[in-house]
Amino acid sequence: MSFRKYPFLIGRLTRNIKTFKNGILTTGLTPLENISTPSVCVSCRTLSSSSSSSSESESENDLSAEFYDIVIVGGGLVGTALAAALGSNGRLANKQILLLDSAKNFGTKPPESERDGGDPNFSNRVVALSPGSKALLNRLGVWENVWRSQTVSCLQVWDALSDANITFNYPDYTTPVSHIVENPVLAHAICQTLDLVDKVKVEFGSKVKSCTIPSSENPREKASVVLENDRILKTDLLIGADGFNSKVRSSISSPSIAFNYDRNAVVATLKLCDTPENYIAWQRFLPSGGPIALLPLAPNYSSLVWSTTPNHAKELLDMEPYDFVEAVNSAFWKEYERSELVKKSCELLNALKLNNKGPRVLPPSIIEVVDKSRASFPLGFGHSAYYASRRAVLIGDAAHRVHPLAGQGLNLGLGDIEVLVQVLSETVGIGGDIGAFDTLREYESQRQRHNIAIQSGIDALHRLYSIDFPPIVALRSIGLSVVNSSELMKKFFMSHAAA
Amino acid sequence: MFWKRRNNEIIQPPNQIPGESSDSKKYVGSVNVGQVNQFNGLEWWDEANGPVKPLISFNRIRVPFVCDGILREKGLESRAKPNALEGFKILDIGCGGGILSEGLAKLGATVVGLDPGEKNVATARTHLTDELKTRVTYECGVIEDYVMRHPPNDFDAVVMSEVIEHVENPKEFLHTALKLLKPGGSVFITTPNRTIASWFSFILMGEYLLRLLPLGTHEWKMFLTLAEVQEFLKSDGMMTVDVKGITYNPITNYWDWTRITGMQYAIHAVKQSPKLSETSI
Repeated sequence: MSFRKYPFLIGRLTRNIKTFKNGILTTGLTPLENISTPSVCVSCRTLSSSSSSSSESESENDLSAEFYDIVIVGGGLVGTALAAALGSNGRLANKQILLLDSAKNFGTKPPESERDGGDPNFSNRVVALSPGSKALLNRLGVWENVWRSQTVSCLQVWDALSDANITFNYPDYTTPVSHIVENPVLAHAICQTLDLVDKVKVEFGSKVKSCTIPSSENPREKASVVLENDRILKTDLLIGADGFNSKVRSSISSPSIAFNYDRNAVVATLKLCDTPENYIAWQRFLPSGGPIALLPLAPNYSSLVWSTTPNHAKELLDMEPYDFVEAVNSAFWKEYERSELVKKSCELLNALKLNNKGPRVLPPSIIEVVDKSRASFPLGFGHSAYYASRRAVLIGDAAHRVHPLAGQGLNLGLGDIEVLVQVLSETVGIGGDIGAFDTLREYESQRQRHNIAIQSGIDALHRLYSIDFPPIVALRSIGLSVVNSSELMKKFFMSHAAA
Repeated sequence: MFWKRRNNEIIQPPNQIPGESSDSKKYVGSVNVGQVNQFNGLEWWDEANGPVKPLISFNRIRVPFVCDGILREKGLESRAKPNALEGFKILDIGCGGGILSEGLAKLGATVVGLDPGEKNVATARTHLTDELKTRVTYECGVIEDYVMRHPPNDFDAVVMSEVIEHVENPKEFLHTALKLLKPGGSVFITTPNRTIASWFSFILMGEYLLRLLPLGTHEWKMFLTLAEVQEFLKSDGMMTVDVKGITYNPITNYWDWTRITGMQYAIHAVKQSPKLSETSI
């Protein structure tokens, strides 16, 4: 008997995950396939037609094609941070790196903007950075350029349909569980670092028309990128950091799961009533809609992320500011009608003293919404079955997209960066090929082990809290209270979210 | 890459081994033509399912072994920068398709790959990129021949990875090869040990049961124990500076270091210049 005949037996440990993925694709989520498959097929078809035409022109233009060791498509937070990380790695010092971005600039917010008005002028888009992400940014020298951020040392989550709540904090109440940073501030910090890395070339306004990776017969060929202006770039390694509609992902024909939650996130910057020490993040799971979260930005200012139905989101955007503030306050404070079963289980939890550990701190009241800070965007889930192929690799939202309820989106992307840079650096250290499938598969398996677990956890939480069927509400309340009362379980969740 | 015991009388080696020559002329130099043919023209670079797939993943540990060994001898500590081996000249004896040669050359070394298999050398040559062509040259031939047309004391390092177990008279073979090494230069050898465990894993499991290697890849009797290799090296004025055991997991295709040398081991030895031999450790 030969192992070679049974590749599923000899595959690296992570093949398990691959079959698991196929399991999802073929059996688990059949309705989702209806959503994802057509788009994948269409993109494959357009790609194959464009790639055949481009390969003809390639052979003519082969000599004129520019070559870079690494091409990063997408200059978002993850793409720029990756460029900075690759550029500052000693072993990759002789690699030519090109970062392509379709926008005109990175949309950064330099600290000057604070001074020109009395108002702090906060951005309405923020990210929650885990301690692990902060450590990475620290190592890259990015964190010192983050000129405004707010430490969160306590996270309070509760259920609108019961008394159940959970608090995440370290015993000393000062060790941060998270850091809230505005997107443009973080972009500015990353670009400051990137400016110092002179071997990374950045090109703005470069729209990618198509990407082609080498066929499995000729894995040593270069990957190529065709830009809108028909310029052709050749590269050893093509990195897709181009978000959830990734062109690079379509070029590696990776099967993917993608669906919309039929929810929109409404974001806004809010002024709070008398909260000079603003270090608690609040999140309440509402019936019909989703969680509403208040993330501290600065003393007396917090950022709102309210996940709700698209219709309600539109109403919220069109409201008068006064009504909007009213709606937000009521979302945090309103008492919803509870079923008898839930009341009884809350009584049980109270009797067991599982529910309340000391007096509960109450969320601050909102007094004002900052002018023109309201916006809304749709929420979705995305998972690419492969992160890696021959000379191409996906990172950040191109590989995985999550609901923002746990504030993990960027953290997953930064985790990708850490592992990818490490794998590439090791490969260069042993004289290997940075674009080899085996190299990149190492990254894929390491990251998928982590990301898929987090993604499914977040998706499951969203689904669990979208239900208002009393027995489920009672059970989830008991579950939450049990977790809240067990330091061990809380530590487990916190260490996973902190990575 | 594969060498076989030669009879003690000197045979005038021809310049090249004809790829498809008959087995009638069995030994050329230290090389057995039949065994060379067995490996000649393998799919050396087929990473996914080639028969020598383990040799590709073997680079994960053997390239750092060679690189760190060379740098340590020169008092340089790390591989933290690209082209760490720039300026070092390495001879890869039994280079096969050039898997190890390329790995070392990518770290900046100038590499000469020597292999008696015509097709191997051709494969290795075609696999070179333009950039690597400036640093890597492949020669088809045997060491006895090469030594005659190459000045002695010329290489900073001589590498023999999975080679001496295919050589009939390894003592003579090592003696010849080490002439090319500069005083203070390093030799790196990886080879399977001659133990019951290695018979079980290489011959029985590897070749017969799991078919991870082509049948007849190894002849267990020709494996050398650690003590034997160290003895040969010592008699040639080499000082062993590092010995490591090697493990391989065929399920995950993963190589790693271990303290146990009973299966397969790696040796790093340094050529003592006559004057310094007493002082340098």
